[in-house]
Amino acid sequence: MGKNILKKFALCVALLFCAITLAACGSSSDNADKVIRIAAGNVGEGAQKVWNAAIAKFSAENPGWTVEFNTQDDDIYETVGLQNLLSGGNPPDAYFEWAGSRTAMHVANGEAADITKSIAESSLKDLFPTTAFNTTTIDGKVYMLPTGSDVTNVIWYDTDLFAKNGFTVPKSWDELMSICAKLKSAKQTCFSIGNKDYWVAGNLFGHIYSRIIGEDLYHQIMSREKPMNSPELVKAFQVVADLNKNGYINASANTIADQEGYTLFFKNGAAMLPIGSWLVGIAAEQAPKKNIDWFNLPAFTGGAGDQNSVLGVTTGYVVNAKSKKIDMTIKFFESFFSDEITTQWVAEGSAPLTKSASAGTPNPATAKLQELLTNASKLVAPPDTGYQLKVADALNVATSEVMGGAKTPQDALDAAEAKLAKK
Amino acid sequence: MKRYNWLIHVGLAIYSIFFAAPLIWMALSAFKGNDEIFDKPFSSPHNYNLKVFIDAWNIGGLSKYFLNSALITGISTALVLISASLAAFAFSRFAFKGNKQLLMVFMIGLLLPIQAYFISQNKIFEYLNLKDHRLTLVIPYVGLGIPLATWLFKAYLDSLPKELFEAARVDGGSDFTMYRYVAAPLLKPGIATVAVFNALGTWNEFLLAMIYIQNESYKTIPVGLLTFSTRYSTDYQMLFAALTVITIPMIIIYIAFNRQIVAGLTEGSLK
Amino acid sequence: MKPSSRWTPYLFIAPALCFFAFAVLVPMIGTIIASLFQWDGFHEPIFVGLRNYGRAFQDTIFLQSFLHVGVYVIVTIFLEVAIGLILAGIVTSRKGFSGYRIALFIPVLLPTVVISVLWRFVFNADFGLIKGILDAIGKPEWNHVWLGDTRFALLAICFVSGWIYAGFYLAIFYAGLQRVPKEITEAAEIDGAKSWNIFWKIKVPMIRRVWEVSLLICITGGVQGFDLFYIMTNGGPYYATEVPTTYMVRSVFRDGEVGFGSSMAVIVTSAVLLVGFIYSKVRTNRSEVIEY
Repeated sequence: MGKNILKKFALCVALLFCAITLAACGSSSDNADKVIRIAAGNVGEGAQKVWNAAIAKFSAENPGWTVEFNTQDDDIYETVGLQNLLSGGNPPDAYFEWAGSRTAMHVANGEAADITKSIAESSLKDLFPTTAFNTTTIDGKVYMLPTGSDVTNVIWYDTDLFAKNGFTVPKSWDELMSICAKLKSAKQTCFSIGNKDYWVAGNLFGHIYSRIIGEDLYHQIMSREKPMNSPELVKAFQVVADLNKNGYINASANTIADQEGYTLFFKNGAAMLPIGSWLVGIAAEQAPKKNIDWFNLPAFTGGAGDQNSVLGVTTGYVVNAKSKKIDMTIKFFESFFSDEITTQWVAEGSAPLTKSASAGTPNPATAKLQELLTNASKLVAPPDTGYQLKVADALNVATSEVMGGAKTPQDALDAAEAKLAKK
Repeated sequence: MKRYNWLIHVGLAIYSIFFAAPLIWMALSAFKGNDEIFDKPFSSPHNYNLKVFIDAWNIGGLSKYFLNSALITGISTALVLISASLAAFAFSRFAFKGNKQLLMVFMIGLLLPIQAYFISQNKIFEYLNLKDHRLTLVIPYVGLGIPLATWLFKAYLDSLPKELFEAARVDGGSDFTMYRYVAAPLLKPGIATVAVFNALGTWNEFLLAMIYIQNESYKTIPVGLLTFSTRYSTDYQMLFAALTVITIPMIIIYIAFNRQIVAGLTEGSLK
Repeated sequence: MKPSSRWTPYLFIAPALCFFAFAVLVPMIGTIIASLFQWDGFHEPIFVGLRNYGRAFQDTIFLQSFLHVGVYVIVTIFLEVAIGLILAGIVTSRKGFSGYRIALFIPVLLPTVVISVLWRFVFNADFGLIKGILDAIGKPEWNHVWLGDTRFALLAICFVSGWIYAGFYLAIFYAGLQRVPKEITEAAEIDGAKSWNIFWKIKVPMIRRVWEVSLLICITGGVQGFDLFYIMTNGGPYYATEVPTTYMVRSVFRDGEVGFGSSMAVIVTSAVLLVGFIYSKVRTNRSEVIEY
């Protein structure tokens, strides 16, 4: 009788565990199937539609194959999301990334495929102008298919409001400040910033710092060749402190997220919105009736940097070196970058880097932004995409603290330096 | 004392309305356009168009999240019920070496906060390639649910007279038949309690679900809703519609099974 | 009772033990081990002994997070347990109030995401519900950035927590009060005692076990608090709502400090186990009054 029980139990327990492992194994054998997995952060509704069209085109041209487009919350994607996916059961065959140190990190981790040959052997080489891969090439090898160059931060403004008050686009920061002073006396908020995740203000002020202290010093500080609390940066932080002191930024800046910041601007809660070129598509959908335009960050008199610099970064898709379907993934991107789909991207408000995009009739606001980017005398990298996340975080947290009036520039930067020096 | 009845009724009613107000407001706002929600938050909706709810369901992929949550909750609860009842039966009815010690090991789990192991558990799962599968969450959820379930079942079994089992033994029953035909049926009230506790815990669990599941098609409701809420973070009409769609079935199930659910939860805490 | 075979008990326990060991025990040991290393999760770990603990005890944010969670526990004891008790008293004193009990329990069932999104909108200082109400009653100057003001953010979260769980403790106390034998309360009524006194002087002491357990649940649950804090403010503004678990999650998953995070985990776990231990000692030493 005892033996019987033993047998029964061993069987039950074994079955239980088999069931679990099978289920787990079952999912990972998916690698042999005909699905291309692509991961990205939040792309927005308009972009999602174009993605669907690209996927449909690919499936039509390659029967039996389909694409799983997995999007996540931006903040999660940038920090743990992508990492989790890459080390998980079904790593993506391609994923969204920003050019610069982040892509370099993937190359170092063996997760980025060298696609120089794949491009040369596919239709992709004809779809792109030769200069398109400049920013996505590391050590002579192409690692990323660029989908756009974002201008990471410009100052958007309500044209009607400006006209009504007789404001003109400011040529210097001081001019901008006097506009703000007038707005403040009329009881209006100057800037709407949604800084809950630290990068909105981080980008704006990162650009400002580079203008004041010079791009070289900015680069040195962000690469940890010079300390965070270098006196020049502390002095530059005074701009942030002054904005807070004068009350030109919405009180809720550090509490609301980026999109809530946009909404505040769209609802006429503020006159200006510092954010990147992607606002075009969002504004078209959320506030089509609002007349808005933008101007690049005005010049800082006496600033050490190039006062016409543009804050920008190239974004695109990296192919996973460990993927077993690299060829089909490239095929998908051939559909993705085809003329047919490019037209849809242009209509949505994006600015693809393919040849046909520049031939088309893009959204005027987008066109102007692309012009800004291509003609930029100097391109500055935003803190969190151009440099190590740890360093960017420290800087952005310091910025948020001074912006909210919680710390003085010296204290905030000392704390940032202390945090980074520990590691 | 009866005079005060209506006074207290009124007081409680006001309190409850204040309590329920945010939820009711949320459901009503789903019928209003975004502009209206911002500018006239307290106005009543113009038309009660159900389209937005259907949109939220379809576009947001809420059905996926529901399915995943149901799958994970169902499987982990079933596994907890089986393994914990088996273990409790042994602890309660058998005298064997290490009975007390092993029980202590399980009881540590009652107090152990999730911080104690989620970091390490994450790494272990990573190495074993267990993350981001459809059934990944079942393993930690079962591990989490076992201590309480075992304790509850054991308490039930302890209160049963041992004559019952002696009688079954005399009739020639093996241990397993004793478990299956004597103990298990008597555990029915306990099963309800444990099932409810487990279901509630796993259905709403967030931390582990967020850390372990990134793949869109495997997300459970809490994480799926979070993704949804960041995608549509300012499309409040859509957002509230989605939240309402998730909430209403839960409320209906709760009201229908009210007595069992509350009895289960309170019995558990009382023991 | 003797098992039919020596191995049967172990076989019975095996499934549960396997799950529990794999999911909880082994990781727990893993956490303790990891706390002795400096590790980013991907590259080689470096042994540093107890340095992480030293760092943790000197980390102002970590220490403050304990303060915050302490405030949270104390405030929620009042908002959840005390209010739950009072509500239970009111609801049991008369017939026909069950509907309220059912309604007030509903927030407990909802996913925290739903609640956080909803209340974030309520607290939104630019176009939220509270601002709307204040504008409507003509007091716009009372509006603050509730979740962005270091003075209010933590209390706002405590308030939301109270909104959720008051109904939970109400249900628990309600069940407990139901078990108080009617004869005692009726005897007191006949003696002319008022409802209020009956409640506080007779019923409450008789359900001592219930509110002892409730306090324990509130405290241990509170210390583990994560969901609300993460979704509503993620530790902000300026770490004013940082609690141990959110700080741990951020250290491990964003900053890549697995060792440091693990050491904090060990510290928090020890604190919780200590509380539980003290609690059970205090309970067994006390002589039970009337047990029913």
